[in-house]
Amino acid sequence: MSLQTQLTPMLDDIRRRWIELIFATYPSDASGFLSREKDQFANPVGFAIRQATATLLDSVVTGRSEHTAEALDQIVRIRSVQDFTASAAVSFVFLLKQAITDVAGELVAKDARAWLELDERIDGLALEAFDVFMQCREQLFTIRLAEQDRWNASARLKRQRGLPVSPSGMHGTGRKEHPRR
Amino acid sequence: MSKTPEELLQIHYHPPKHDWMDPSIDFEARRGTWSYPGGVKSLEYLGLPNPREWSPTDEDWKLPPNWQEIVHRGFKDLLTKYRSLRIFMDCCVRCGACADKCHFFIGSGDPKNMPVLRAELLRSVYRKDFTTAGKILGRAAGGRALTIDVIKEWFYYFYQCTECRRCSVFCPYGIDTAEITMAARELLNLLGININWIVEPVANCQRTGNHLGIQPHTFKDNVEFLCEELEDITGIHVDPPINKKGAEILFIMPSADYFADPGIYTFMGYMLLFKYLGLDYTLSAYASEGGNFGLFLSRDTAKRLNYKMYAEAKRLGVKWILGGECGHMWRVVNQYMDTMNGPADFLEVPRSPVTGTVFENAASTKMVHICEFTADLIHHGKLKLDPSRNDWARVTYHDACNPARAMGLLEEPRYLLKHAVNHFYEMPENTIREQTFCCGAGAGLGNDENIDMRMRGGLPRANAVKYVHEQHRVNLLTCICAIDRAVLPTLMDFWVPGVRVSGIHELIGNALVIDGENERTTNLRGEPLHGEGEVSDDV
Amino acid sequence: MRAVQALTVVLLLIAIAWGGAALIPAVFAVAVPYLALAVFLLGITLHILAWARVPVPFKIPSVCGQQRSLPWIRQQRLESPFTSWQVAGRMALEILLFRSLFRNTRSVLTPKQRLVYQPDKVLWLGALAFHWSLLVIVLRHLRFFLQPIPRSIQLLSALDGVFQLLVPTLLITDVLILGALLYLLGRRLFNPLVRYVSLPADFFPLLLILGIAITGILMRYVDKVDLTAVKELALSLTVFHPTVPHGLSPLFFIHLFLVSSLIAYIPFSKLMHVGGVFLSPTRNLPNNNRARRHINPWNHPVPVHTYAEWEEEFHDKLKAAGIPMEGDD
Repeated sequence: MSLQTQLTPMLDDIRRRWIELIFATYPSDASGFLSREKDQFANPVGFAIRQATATLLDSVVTGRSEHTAEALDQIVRIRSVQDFTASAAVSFVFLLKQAITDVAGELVAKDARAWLELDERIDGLALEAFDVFMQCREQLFTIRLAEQDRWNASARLKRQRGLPVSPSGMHGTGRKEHPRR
Repeated sequence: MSKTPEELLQIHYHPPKHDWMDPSIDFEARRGTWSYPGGVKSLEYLGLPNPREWSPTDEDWKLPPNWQEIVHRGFKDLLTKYRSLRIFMDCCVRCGACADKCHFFIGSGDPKNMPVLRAELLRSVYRKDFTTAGKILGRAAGGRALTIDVIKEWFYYFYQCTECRRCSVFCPYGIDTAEITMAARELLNLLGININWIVEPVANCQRTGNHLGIQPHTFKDNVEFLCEELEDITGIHVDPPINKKGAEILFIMPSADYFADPGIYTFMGYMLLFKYLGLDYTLSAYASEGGNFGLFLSRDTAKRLNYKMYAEAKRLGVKWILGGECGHMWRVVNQYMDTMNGPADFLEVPRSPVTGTVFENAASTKMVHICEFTADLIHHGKLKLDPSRNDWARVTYHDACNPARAMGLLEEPRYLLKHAVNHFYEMPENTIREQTFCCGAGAGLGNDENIDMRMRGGLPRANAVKYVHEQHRVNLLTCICAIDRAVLPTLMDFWVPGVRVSGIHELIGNALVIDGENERTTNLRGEPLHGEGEVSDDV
Repeated sequence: MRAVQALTVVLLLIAIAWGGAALIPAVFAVAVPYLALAVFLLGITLHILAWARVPVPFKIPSVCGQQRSLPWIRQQRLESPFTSWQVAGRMALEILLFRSLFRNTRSVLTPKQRLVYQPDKVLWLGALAFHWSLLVIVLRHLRFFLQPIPRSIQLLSALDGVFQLLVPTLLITDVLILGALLYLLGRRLFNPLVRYVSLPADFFPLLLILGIAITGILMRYVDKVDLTAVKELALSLTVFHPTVPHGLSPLFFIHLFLVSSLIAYIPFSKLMHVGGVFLSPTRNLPNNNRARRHINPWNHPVPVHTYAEWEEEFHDKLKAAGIPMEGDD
């Protein structure tokens, strides 16, 4: 019996452990809110993590990857604007390794070759997560620029029509520093 | 230098090392979650304390030497002026009902974004300085000494509150974090600690009449330019009067409506409606701002800016004032203006010249919300609307915090939407009406350096939009708030691509059938009416 | 840690009562209750006066429903009150039924992907059970202070004991208050969110009241107290002619001392929420701001930028743009 097949009945436990480990990466979540609150609208972060981990775990075990991009985006997008460095933001993927060894350590130890395959898939997922992270951060900059543009919409329209534009706007002075990263 | 994955991960397992009472904010590491300090020129123009060059990342914030005394005296002063503050300092039982109601807490998980703890940041100092138990027992009684780190923490967290008042809805004593945040910001202000995205608009508004610093000639130029655009689309010539004496109605809107995208389309909607009605109104270049960033600085600055509305109404000799779609503007107009700058005994009780309806609910303040005004028109069958012109849009509605929780303006905008569009879908119940989630950028926090925090704070709202986007293919988020119109597009771009943002009167403008207009082939944005956006009605 | 601090204080109070009552019963039966009552009355009066002295500069209700605007739009009278009567209704809902705590709803996705809303009312129920039981228990105790016992109090006690399971009759409120206290305490200890925000001052009153309830229940069902002696003491206290009868057990002294501590503690603590809820400006003011002007007693002048100053500054630009000015007509 392949490792994958043997893991199947344990997937729920693995996922639960993985979620636990991800929640623990929120050093500020001393209140345990993420794990406690199950309402999709009252706790979007916890909900996204719960939902996406199911897809990701499935893709790691089965090797199917149709929905991994969306699922990764669901989690990484949130972590990209929270108090995490880049490495910490994507680190949650590696936690899956720990979750699997925590729950199915003996099984894994018996089948090194199969484990290696899973291990590689998880690494692949982590790399992909990093791409998503970078996209999100870049997007933050582009949407900031777009917002500045909207603030002076009539100037933009005038320019399009070749009319003179007088300087004005919300963002004249006071800027002394450059945004992070 | 390099770390193993285990090392990287390990550091995050630990719960917070210190008790919440020992603050330390690393501003350098937390860029993206705070705003740049108020500029020297603006503070000097307004005559506010301690103008200087400084940055939150500096070790030394260049406070006056007797800063503790200043805060203590200021606190005492507030406690003798605001019963709300006194009571809210005294009677919280920390039941936790508010804890998970704050959008910043939901999006960040940071416990100090729980309303109860945000208030404790101030309350702990109150106990230590002003209560018997706190003076004697100190920390055992929940008291905390006022240190420079506490001040830094106040700056961080009281500029992470959008004064949206959602928590106060759930509090059994009605403790309103907005009152606490306002008090804290007033105290910080005494030391010259504030943010530029508030201070500069306030200075602008004091001088030119609007937050954006648009001078009167540019104001006129802009209004005329937008009216030309409007004429290109509809064939209707609109020429709104400016500073016209003796008009019946003074119309005041947020400046973003005649300046920023997508507010300008809402502006076109207003103009078209007034033209359609043949309304005797005027705009003002002096009172050219509905919004009031002064509210986010101190109640005194709110009063300074708000002064212009009544002053201008009196000077122009109008009968009453009509107000545009703006959120915090209506907090000020509805809950503060009459008290601060009234009584408006030189105005008349507002009466719609079209329907004859007397707005008894505005009998004293004499200012009517445009949604109330237009809803009355539709109810009396005075508007010819063709909602199919908005069929490109599948619409949901975001209750702006202040019109919802400071006014109770819930049904009027929905009534307008139901007549102006064919496809309207509500977001989930615990995210709308009095339980509406903030955009995450109110109370002066909509600046771009604060973008990470805005995305966190806006997540609960965006998440609810995403739900109707997925369930009903909603592609337009409507709102009646200028801040919303400025920041929600950014929020949508990040969390729910494919959803755009508009004001309600933009959709009214689209749907309004006017004699002599061109056959409409585009909406007010110049986009084809029957294009890619349109979807069949089969959900 | 914070809970332990609070528990230590409560245990200390118990020890004081136990030891003290044996040595100087008159002090613990007479002086302490009088003193506590004096502190309570004086403290609470001063506190309320201090609150009442502070003005309410602005009318700032937290509106939780549709305003009164156009006649054909239905106003939500209790969520967005316009008149004083409607405010009274809103306050009554808040004070008697804890309306705001009842607002917690949770959305749940059914298997068919439909959203439904379920109430999340545990905290509301717990709080309600606790406060109402406490009220009934306090009223029930009036029978010690009144002679003859008013019919209403007798009726209340009879209703409370409607489930006659034990002898003496098991009182519903005894069960309820114990359950509610344990829930509220458990919540503070085990709900990480609430534990994080809890201070010693949050555990202390819970433990204190728990101590009072337990000693009270023990006196009723286990180490039965001499009711006539208690009544004799209570009546003598009410007529300011105190006599300390024989036969009062240490348990009674502990009970009495904890009660005294509680009422003396109220004015200095968050238990003042009893008064605060009546005075909270976001709840006790009507949402009729634009119809009735609210007066701010300290409405001081602020520096403003007048039209004249504005026109002077922008005179040339106004003129060039053809915007009408004051001198025009």
